[in-house]
Amino acid sequence: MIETVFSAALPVGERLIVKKNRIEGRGGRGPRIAVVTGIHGDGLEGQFVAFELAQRLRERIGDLRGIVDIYPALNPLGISASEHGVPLFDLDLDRTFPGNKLGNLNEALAAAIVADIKGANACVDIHAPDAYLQEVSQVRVEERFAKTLLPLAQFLNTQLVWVHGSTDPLRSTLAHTLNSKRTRTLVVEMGESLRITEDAGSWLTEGILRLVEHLGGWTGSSVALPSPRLVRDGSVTVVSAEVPGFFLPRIELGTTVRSGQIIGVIADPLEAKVKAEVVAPSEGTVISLRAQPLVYPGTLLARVLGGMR
Amino acid sequence: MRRLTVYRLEVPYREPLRVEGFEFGERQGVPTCSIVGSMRGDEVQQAYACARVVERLEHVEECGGIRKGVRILVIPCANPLSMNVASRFWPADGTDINRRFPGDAYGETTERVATGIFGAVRGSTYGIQFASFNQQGDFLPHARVTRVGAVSEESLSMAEDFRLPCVVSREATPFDTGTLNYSWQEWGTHAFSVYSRTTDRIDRPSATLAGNAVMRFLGTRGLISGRVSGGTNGVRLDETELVDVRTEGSSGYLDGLVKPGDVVDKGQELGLVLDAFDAHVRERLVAPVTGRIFFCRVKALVQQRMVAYRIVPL
Repeated sequence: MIETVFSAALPVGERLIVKKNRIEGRGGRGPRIAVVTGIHGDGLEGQFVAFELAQRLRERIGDLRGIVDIYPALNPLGISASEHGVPLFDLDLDRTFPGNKLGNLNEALAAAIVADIKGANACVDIHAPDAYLQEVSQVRVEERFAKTLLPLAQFLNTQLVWVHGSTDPLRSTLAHTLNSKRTRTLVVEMGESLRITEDAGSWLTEGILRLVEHLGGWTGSSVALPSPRLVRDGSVTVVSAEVPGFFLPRIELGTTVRSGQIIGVIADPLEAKVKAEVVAPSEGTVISLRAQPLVYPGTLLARVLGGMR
Repeated sequence: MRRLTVYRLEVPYREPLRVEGFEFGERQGVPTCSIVGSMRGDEVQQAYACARVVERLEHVEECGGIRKGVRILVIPCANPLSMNVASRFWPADGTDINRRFPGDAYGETTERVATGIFGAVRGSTYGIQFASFNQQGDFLPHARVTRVGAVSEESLSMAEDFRLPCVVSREATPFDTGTLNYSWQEWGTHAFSVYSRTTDRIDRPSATLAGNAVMRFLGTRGLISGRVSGGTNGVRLDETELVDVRTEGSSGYLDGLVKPGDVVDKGQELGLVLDAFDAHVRERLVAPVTGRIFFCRVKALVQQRMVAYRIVPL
């Protein structure tokens, strides 16, 4: 059943409406699971998962106990404009939580989203990377919530589970807000901005079914991948551009590299020169890779996870 | 006055980004006062107001008016690269330099720019930024202090030396931690944000008013000599005391009837929300209190639940 989570009038003959697809199982009482995506208008990877998951559940509705709420577009204006944030606002929607039901449209939207999801047995918040990167699929877990989230994160069929430190801006995210309210929320990052990576999306769909099964809500089939690797901040090395130009990668995402191996070059088309060779700082696997060629000094080109084969 | 390059960054197909500073008084040491104008590409008013301060300090220095031992560093435009393409944020990745402080010399591009700027202004006794706000509209010129720690309380008293119509304090949020103002305070600087009326267009009277306020502050704090005059006894209040007037059930065109600084009576009509198709009045926005207009939305279109006015209650 399609339900409205939030609605407000836009200036010219239109309403901003955030909807969810509530899928109620016929297998009896069970948990409520929320799957949210589209909080950034340029993160479309979750669209495929929302589509695929709803189809899987409908096909075997008798195997579902409880409720799965799918929110495919928390930021419909951003998606319509392919913008990261909410058009007309300078702010990132995922930096406005917990919101304020008496505040402006953005704040009221954030508050309505939290009110709707709060109390779910688990929530999966699907993102694509920003900063023009490609990333292997991963669950991002804030250190302070690791104890409650790690037992769930392993089910999602991602390649990594990355436990990262807490920073002040993260306190304004949907995931932090829900986790602080004891609604266990797992952030998934994968693929690429403005793209859909169907393979990763299919695996995540299976992973969400595994999570629902673990929580007692699914008796149908699901496919498991090998357990994800647990990563902490210290095991990842960042490779940045030191000169401006155009990055031409010489490897693919997921490649295992040797220390000193060339990851790519930074080219200067005007003078037809290679301005810099970008080398792997250590042996490991490239888990993030620059997707957009234009680079400035400081642009993140790659992340190398040490010791992964 | 000495002109110096605070930070330089090579960029593709354009001249390097050069953040220029103007130094007055002493040549060495940590600035007694650092003044920063625009940080974002649309902060034209902020850059303009700051440039006028450069002009005035140049004159003060020529007259021997910079006090001995004082070093003043002014950075009128911290982000010419974005200003030259009219992009509020960093054009390549949409990041905001004023969310990247204190920066990182080995971090991402805007973190590098931030650390370059902060390296020049870190540890100043006083830090003044001509700031803009994410709400699109015009403001009553005011000084703002974000409460970060013990230093903020003393700063609040000092802020009255600007003699602007208003001194506003506010609690820091997680979102503030990357701002220059926040980092300044972490380093013990008395940090002030000075707001004039506009952002992306020059409003000469309020730019002059803000510039006068900065010169008054420098005079009162003993950094420059000369008679300190003008200004007003401003109202000091916490941001939560401002009274919002928002569109509740309607959206459309905002037909504004007041401007910042106007004194309004309780029940007075401030603006009309007109239907976008037939121009019928859908909502009358009225003042819930008697007070002075602090903020006016100036964009023609308004959504439901949008703050159109903020009032300083009197």
